[in-house]
Amino acid sequence: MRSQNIAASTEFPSVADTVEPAALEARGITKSFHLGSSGLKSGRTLQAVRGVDLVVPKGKTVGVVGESGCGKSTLARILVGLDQPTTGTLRVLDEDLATASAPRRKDLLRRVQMVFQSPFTSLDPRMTIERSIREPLDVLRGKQTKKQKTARVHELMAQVGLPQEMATRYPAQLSGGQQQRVGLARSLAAGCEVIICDEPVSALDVSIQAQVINLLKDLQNELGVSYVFIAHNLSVVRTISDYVAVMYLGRIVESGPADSVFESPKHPYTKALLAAAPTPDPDIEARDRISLQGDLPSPLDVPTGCAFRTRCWKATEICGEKQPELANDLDPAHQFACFHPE
Amino acid sequence: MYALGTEPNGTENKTAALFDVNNLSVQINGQGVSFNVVDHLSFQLMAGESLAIVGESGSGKSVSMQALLGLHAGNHNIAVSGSVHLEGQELLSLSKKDMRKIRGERISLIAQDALAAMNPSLTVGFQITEPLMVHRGMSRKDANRRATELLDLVGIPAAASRLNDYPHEFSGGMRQRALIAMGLVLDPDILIADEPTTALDVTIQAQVLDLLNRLRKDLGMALIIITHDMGVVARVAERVLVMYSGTVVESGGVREVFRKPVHPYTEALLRAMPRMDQGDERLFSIAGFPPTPGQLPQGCRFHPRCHYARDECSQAPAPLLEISPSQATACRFWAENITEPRQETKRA
Repeated sequence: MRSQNIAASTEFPSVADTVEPAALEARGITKSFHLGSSGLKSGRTLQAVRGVDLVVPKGKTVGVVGESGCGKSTLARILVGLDQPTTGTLRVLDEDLATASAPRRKDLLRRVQMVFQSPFTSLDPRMTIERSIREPLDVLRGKQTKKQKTARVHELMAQVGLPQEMATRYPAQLSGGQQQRVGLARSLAAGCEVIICDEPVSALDVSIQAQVINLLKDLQNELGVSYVFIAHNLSVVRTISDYVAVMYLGRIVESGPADSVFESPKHPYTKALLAAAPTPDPDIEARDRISLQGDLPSPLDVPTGCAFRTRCWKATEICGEKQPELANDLDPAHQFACFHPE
Repeated sequence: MYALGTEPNGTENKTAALFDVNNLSVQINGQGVSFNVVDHLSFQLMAGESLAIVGESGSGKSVSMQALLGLHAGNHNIAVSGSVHLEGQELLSLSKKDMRKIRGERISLIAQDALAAMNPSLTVGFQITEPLMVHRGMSRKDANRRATELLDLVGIPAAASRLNDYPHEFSGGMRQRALIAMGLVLDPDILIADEPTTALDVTIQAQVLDLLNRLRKDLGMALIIITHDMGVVARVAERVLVMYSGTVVESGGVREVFRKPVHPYTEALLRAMPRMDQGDERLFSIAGFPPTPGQLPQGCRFHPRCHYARDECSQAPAPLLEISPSQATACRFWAENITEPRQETKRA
């Protein structure tokens, strides 16, 4: 994960880039929305994603964290092919989507699937669980016989821990955790290699949340799938991720191996996010806590220079003049975009 | 910190309890079936104290708060029984009119979804000042001045100029703050906050929780916070009630409960939470899911999911037992099951 000058440099500095082959690679992704032709904000451009590089190695999990409005869901939609980036390239299994032929593109995109936040609204309420899971098989893998498909559905249900008798039920008859398992089974049915999970457990209760996280880990160990795990709950991200990217107003401000980022955050924003996360231990109360003031600035009106400077307690003149680059000379694996790192 | 038992009323220490809830049950009747969604809930709250009620969805935490505020009155499918005393006054038998004076004045409720709790077609200023004009007969001018003070108190910048804004013009965190200001407007003795930060980002959540802490200390209010997040409990509460399937399974001081949970469910909840200081390892998970009301298991309601369960657990119900002045559990075998204090393990 790096930023900018994609064309200029041929050497990939980060560990994520070099050691393992990438299942999904996004370079220099930007996404702007032109706001409607009428209304108060007409004619203005909203930059939701402002130059993001993200490399998802095979069989690994990249966590993306940030506040609402930081562009993480827009990024997810781009990664899965639901939206086109304004600029930037997306490579699946080392093939560029923009230059691939139409059938090849479809086949590549099949390998990147998404699991949504609300498990209920992402399922068709009038389809039985079996039909829901079979749908991707019908649409994307047409060559199988009906019998093969039914067998595959049952195999997938077992894989995600759904009892066979659920096959004939409807989504409304399932609990939230079970619905989320159906969502996962659907992704796997498509034969995916990367699953983009957009807040997959935030709608679930704690006891069920732990079941789903464990299932995600098990599936990764068994099938070697990669995840992009988008969440605002940092402890969940910590538990599941190998690499973490912290986003602020459309840019990655810090990225690197999860242990390194969580244990020695370099960017003040990462530090503030970590300090804000509630820990189930009343005695931690006393530790030095940075309370971030104010809200995220509007993405319609991004501050100049470092976008975080309006809420940063370390900001100086230079922060308003120049945009810091995502880099780290000492440890290329753990990069941050800040003039005054911790 | 006083008795929290489910013992029949009357006997326990009633010294200075501001709020005394005794054997509160909420029964839902419909289509030939009836079941209790809240079953014999009892607790006391001292003036200025903060109490957290924790539980998963469907555990009855919100329903019980709505019941003690009389919000189910007039709904023929819901029967509320038990007693709720506010400084000795029974609330459940009050008329609708008298109850209206309690709500807002004495006890106020902050709802979870700030956008849904506000009227989108009225300005934030109007919604804050309305109770002042109705309950206190204040003039619009005085009410506006008070509303500005309150918005200032909850940390909304340029408060005076925001009074004429509509709810959609506020960000999520500011909306939640404005809702807290609405809850504070009549100086209640008790503030009930139902999942006040669930819809917010962590940074904003931290701001709102700090605000609630500060307000409680500055204004001497008692706070009941309903949440499913043990992290929130640790941050704001002094005492905690853990609910499962409509009953209290454990209660006690926050430090005691976190250090040494004495009910298997509490223990499991704490262990199931992913922690920031503990990285990549398998999470402890509770098998199965909570029972549906109406199809409750026999005996202890948690026993089908409890990994300490034994034969006796499925036979007799498990009442809440006081095991120390500050802690109670609904597990008869707590002493044998949970022997070691929970270790604050740093991962090796």
